[in-house]
Amino acid sequence: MIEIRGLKKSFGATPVLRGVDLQVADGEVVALIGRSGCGKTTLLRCINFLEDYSEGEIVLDGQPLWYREGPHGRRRVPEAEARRMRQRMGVVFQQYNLFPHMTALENVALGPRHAQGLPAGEAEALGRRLLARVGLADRLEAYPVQLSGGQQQRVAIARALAMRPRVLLLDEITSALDPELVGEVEDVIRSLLREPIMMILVTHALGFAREIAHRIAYVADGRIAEIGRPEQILESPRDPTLKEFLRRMR
Amino acid sequence: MTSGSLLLLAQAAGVSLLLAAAAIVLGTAVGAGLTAMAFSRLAVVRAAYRVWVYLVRGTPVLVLALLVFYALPALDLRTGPYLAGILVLGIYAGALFAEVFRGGVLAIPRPQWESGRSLGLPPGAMLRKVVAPLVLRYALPPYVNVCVMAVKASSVLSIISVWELTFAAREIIERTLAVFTVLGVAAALYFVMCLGIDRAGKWLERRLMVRGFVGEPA
Repeated sequence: MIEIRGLKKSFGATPVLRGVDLQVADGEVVALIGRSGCGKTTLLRCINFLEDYSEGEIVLDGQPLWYREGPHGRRRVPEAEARRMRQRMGVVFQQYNLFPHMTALENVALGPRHAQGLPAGEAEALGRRLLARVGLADRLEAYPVQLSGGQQQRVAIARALAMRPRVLLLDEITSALDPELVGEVEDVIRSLLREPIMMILVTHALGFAREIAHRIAYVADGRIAEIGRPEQILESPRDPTLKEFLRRMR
Repeated sequence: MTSGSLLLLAQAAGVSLLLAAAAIVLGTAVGAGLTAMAFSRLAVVRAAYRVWVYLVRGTPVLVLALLVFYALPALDLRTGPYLAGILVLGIYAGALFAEVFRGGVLAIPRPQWESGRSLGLPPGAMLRKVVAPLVLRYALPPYVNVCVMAVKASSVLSIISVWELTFAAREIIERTLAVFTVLGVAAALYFVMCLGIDRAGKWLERRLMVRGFVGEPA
């Protein structure tokens, strides 16, 4: 499970996260929603330490991540340790961010081979299996430019899964897609619900969030303003800004 | 012009090409090392990079050649003009390559770094598998540019008694006084060498290009 306590972060003088508390249980799916600029993407990036944060702690399965308290105060963990921690999380970005000079298979096998030290043959077999799983068994040798946005995003999901992560962080993974390609990516995520994997997703697709998330967290002004079961958040919101947000999203 | 003179010029052109090729190999290694300095975590190392590149880039190759040619014996290194010549061109091209490579690194979009980081790739693997291949693609056109310059810059090595195309041309002119014919042939040979490098670069560009990746080769 993931425990986030009192997370704070500023960009210069502008506070973005003002003390976020969130727990995600094993196998749980939590959707983060909120206005653009509310801090939800920053929160996601902090969890994987793509952004540093000034206060608070993130604990994965009992292990504190990214910072250590020492006699001289709070310090980042060494880079090698941060790399090992990152390997327990998979990230899928809004713009897919595949490596353009590698085929789909190479993209997926890269992490297992070079970050986790799997033998080349095994890494490739794993890559084939995962690409088949996201429905791309016939596009192994395709380069990202030769794939549609939806296909690229499915490769990106396979690439994240290849690390056998404990948690998947999904950052608006369907926002950049043409509407007709959204479904194929959402299907892949649905197929993961049977797995004991945690997911934290930032999304504007409220219908999808309602369908797959166990809980929805409404982020406003750098805090989690309201959190609960999807029906509760989407149908009987208490926070007035959440009510307004939902009214605009309809 | 006699066929003997022509043969001599062709041989000299071969020497020029070899000098330039050796300098390109050396310069590439020097440039890669310098680029690593440019991205060092230590400010001193980054400052050393800037000073070195400004100094080398800001010195005419001719002056650099004389400097190295006279400095080496003073340091008790008896290399002869050819090694000294390769060293001069290598130092010169190295500084230019360094900037070319640095530009290539800067051209890598931030999301690529983040993808590598989020996979937990160690620095070595990140460099070999992601950074180097992308830099190679981004930097190839300006890299070829510097290679062409290295061929032409080899002509100044005649000043330190390296027998190469320009040196041979002057020899023949002194004998035959056929200034324009000989210089014309020499210029044509330089042109062909540069064209060859340019073609080789374009060929490599096409080979490395994933269709639509950074635009079609010109």
